[in-house]
Amino acid sequence: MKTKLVFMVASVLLVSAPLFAHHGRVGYDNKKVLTLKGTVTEFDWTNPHVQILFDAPDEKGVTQHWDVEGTNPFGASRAGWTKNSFKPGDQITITFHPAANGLGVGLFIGAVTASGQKLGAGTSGANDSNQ
Amino acid sequence: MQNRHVVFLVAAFGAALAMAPVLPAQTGRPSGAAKPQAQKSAQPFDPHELSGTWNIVGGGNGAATCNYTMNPYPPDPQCKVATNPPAGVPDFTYPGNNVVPDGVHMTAWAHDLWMSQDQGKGVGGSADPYEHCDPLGVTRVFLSYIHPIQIIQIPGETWMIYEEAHTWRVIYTDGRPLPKVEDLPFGANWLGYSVGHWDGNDFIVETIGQNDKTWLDLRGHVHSEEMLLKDTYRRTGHDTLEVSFSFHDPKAYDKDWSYGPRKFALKTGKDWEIQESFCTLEDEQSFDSKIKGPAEHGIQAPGIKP
Repeated sequence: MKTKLVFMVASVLLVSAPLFAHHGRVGYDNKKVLTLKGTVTEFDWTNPHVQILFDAPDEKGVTQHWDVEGTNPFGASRAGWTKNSFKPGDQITITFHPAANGLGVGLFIGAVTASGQKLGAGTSGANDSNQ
Repeated sequence: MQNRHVVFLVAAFGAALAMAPVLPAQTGRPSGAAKPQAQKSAQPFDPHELSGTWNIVGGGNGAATCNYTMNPYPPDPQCKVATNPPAGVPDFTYPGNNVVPDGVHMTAWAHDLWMSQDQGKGVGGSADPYEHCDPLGVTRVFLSYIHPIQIIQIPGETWMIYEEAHTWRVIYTDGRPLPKVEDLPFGANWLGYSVGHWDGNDFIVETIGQNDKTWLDLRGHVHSEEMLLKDTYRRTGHDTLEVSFSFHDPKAYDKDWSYGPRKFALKTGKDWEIQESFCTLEDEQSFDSKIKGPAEHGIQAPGIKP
């Protein structure tokens, strides 16, 4: 089942770093942008890509679980991230390109953390890149 | 050739690197927001001094109009990507993604090798050697990724430390000639054998003997172990470095070609210290199961929105 989420979808130019590290980005819908308000469940501050896992309600109010990848920790660090930027329970706003197939994964564009800090995509890793 | 004596514990450092086991990559260290680089372009500089940490300008694979180091949020409306590939298609027009220009064609040998790697899909396919953490070769290691490079010059050698994949490369500058592939003491290997010399203000590096398991770029362009690669480094200002490449590989391509220059900016401060960035199978497999499998292959990851 692929639930279609309709939250603040906008077609924008790709202004985020391509995150085109060695993992490629062929699975994401580059023309679709979602911005969701959700609750962090996990933050993986690891190679090859940091990951923000969070819960957010869909248009029907059903909680959906997402895993959004960012760049590697070093690129993220140079853009102001720390290993404590996201913690379970944090209420965040996160913007990302969702997977084209509708599964709950995405490619990070930006976020507003629980403390109000705005974080961009940072440098890119390998083709994975943002890399 | 003039070499500035740079006093580092390079011998111990190099030995440590050589013996470093493959460990899970350390996670990032706490860091404040990167501070803007002060304008230093008017500072005097020695064009023969290349030591320092350098980061590619315009992104290893991004549009030249953006400084991806500090990609802001909300996104800067002035930061526009030159092309917007359709979903599912990697864009190989970005700098660093494709170093082989139109008009240069693979030989039959190279084409067969390229196609044997998931039909030549490059990084978007399933045959990327980096997916199983094979070492990155030159040029891919520092053109395709926005990770800094540290150059260390000592008498007789120039070391290049690439943060990406925790890679280092030694270039012999003691006047020794470039050997033939068949004379390499350990045969062809991942990064080849490099010698360097100065020609005026250009530091020219010649490399032979990179095995044919590496890609030149994200497009997956192959090469033979007979490829002669020349990278030319020219410090154009206190904070700027230009790097150009020329490729000679008649076994793999029908003509020689040049690529570049690509620009690099001098980086200083704690934010730009070279970090440990190993590629490990454990990390890759975890990432694949949680992200790549769902995104690229539609494999449902546990707990993720279906």
